[in-house]
Amino acid sequence: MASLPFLHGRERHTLGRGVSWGPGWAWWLRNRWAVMGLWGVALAGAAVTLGPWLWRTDPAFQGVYQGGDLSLRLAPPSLDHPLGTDAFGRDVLARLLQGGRISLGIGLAAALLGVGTGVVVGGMVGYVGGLADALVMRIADTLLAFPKLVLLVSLAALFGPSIPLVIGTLALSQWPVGARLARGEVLALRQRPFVEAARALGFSRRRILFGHVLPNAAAPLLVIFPLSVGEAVVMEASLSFLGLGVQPPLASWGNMAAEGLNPLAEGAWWVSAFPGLALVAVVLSFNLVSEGLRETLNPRGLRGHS
Amino acid sequence: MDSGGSCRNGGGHLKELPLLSFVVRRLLGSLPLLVGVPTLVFLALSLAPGDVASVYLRPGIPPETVVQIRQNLGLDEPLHVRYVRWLSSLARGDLGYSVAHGVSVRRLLATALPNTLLLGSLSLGLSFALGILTGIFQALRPHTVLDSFLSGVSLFFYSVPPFWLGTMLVLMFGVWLGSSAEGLWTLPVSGMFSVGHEFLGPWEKAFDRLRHLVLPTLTLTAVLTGGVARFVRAAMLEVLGEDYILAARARGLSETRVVLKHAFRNALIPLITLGGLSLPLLLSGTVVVEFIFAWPGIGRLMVTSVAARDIPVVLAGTVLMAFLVVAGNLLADLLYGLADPRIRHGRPQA
Repeated sequence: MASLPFLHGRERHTLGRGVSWGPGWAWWLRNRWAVMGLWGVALAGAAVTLGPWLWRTDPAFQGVYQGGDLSLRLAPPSLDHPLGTDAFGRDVLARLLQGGRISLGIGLAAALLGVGTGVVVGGMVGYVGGLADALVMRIADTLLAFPKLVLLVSLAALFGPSIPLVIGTLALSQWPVGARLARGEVLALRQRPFVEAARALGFSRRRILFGHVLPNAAAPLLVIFPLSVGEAVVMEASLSFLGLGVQPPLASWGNMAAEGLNPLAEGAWWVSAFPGLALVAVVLSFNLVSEGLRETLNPRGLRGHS
Repeated sequence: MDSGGSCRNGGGHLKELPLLSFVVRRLLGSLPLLVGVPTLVFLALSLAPGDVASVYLRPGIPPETVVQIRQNLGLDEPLHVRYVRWLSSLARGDLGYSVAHGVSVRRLLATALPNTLLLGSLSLGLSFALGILTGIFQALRPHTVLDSFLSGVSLFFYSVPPFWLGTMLVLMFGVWLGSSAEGLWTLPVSGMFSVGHEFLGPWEKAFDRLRHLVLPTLTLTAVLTGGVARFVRAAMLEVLGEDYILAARARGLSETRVVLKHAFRNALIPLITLGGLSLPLLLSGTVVVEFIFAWPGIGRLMVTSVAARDIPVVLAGTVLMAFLVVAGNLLADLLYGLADPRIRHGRPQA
């Protein structure tokens, strides 16, 4: 009995596949790209949380219609409006910061909800096995094999666009990734001695799964989470770009880019260029973080999944 | 994907034709997608607030007419009856009528499908060709400055959402270059033909179509290429470290032969799987790209139909996309058999 907690404890200090925290993190910090990604994520997070307090221009104020200043229609970047103004004379920077809150918030919520649900469901059916496992994994495979944006478009068609719905459908498209991964890890871990030990101690299945198995599957899950946030942010933006996501006048990076399409013909590139650049920077950052984590936690073969 | 099983459990007479049995098994494996997507679509449709009848409703219609409309559309029947009818009419290819266009959905999709296929296959082919070349090039000089640079470029394009890349291409070719000079650089940013293309000769017509294809194809290709290049680089690096490569080099084979015949042939097998796996990404991309460049394909049809509340078209488009994924995966399976003799000759896979 006395040796069992020791077994258990040793497993807990490693992140899955026998990679310990210490040297891995040092390597990761030396990996400049991954650190740059981390800075990018931190900067974006700071910008959208603190930005609207620092840049005090009202994102909803229409310089042309409410301010009566026609020169503010599609004004190019200047000191007053560092990123220019849109067709209504609204400040692009202020909208970018406010829209970032929406876009990143939706992406984060959808990834948390989707990957979280996926991990719990995938872990449970992986541990229990049998018919439930076969059925749930078939559904997950079906969803994985289906073009996400097509699914989102048809769901938006049926239910009408709203933010909770966008989060829900994005989560729906994200859960199979978490489920697949968690199930695979659970299948690999459930025969390991420390799980058998826990079973021998008579722990409940719930306690074994959530207390012993899933914590040891943290490494690969940590890799896909930033990836999932990045993808959810892009999906939300794409959906809003098509007019099926966040609805104006509420800004999101996707619908800002769409509103910038027509002004392009007048040479007003700043309306759609900046939200897109912000999006690229954020998604790239998340991908770099994920890449860094992947190389740290799984230094042998790196297999990219689509 | 479950490619791990051995080919020996292919039933009865199929045993002599391992490739066929492989394809049949994979086809059976794709059944859940073919039945699952229509089921999901049907369930979503019945869960959605309001029903199809609401499209026909106008203010002032008497309630008994509403009941009549619902009866005519078969909406008063129980869920499972409607589900079976929806599946059987799908199987017969009866997709109903478009509310907005007033023609059969099948005709709408039939005119849009070739355009999507042209754009999609061209982009897929181009991105794989470009990605393979870049990946091999990188794998031959790993961890050099050039390799890191190309990896960075790949990761960049992998992260760029197609809608923004397309928008920036419109800006560059449609606005900046388009207004400055008449010439080869002015590329059309919208549609599939120029105005008055009917009066052009067959060659000029083909050239006109080609010019319209450039920007949409470029956008889609850029998005896919990065992933392919990353994948090929990793696969090639792994294969190039194998002993048989060392053996081939020791036998004095030329570097080209070693790289293309010994290494790439083996890296090709997971690449075909990637081809099948990138179909969802490609089709998601076509939705956005067709929307930006007004390319009259399935994706654009679906998005404009959502705006017009033309539900039958959206649903049929969704189902068609599922069919495209299945058909593409089947094609990938056939290629798999061609590339991997173990599958062709029915020996268990490694």
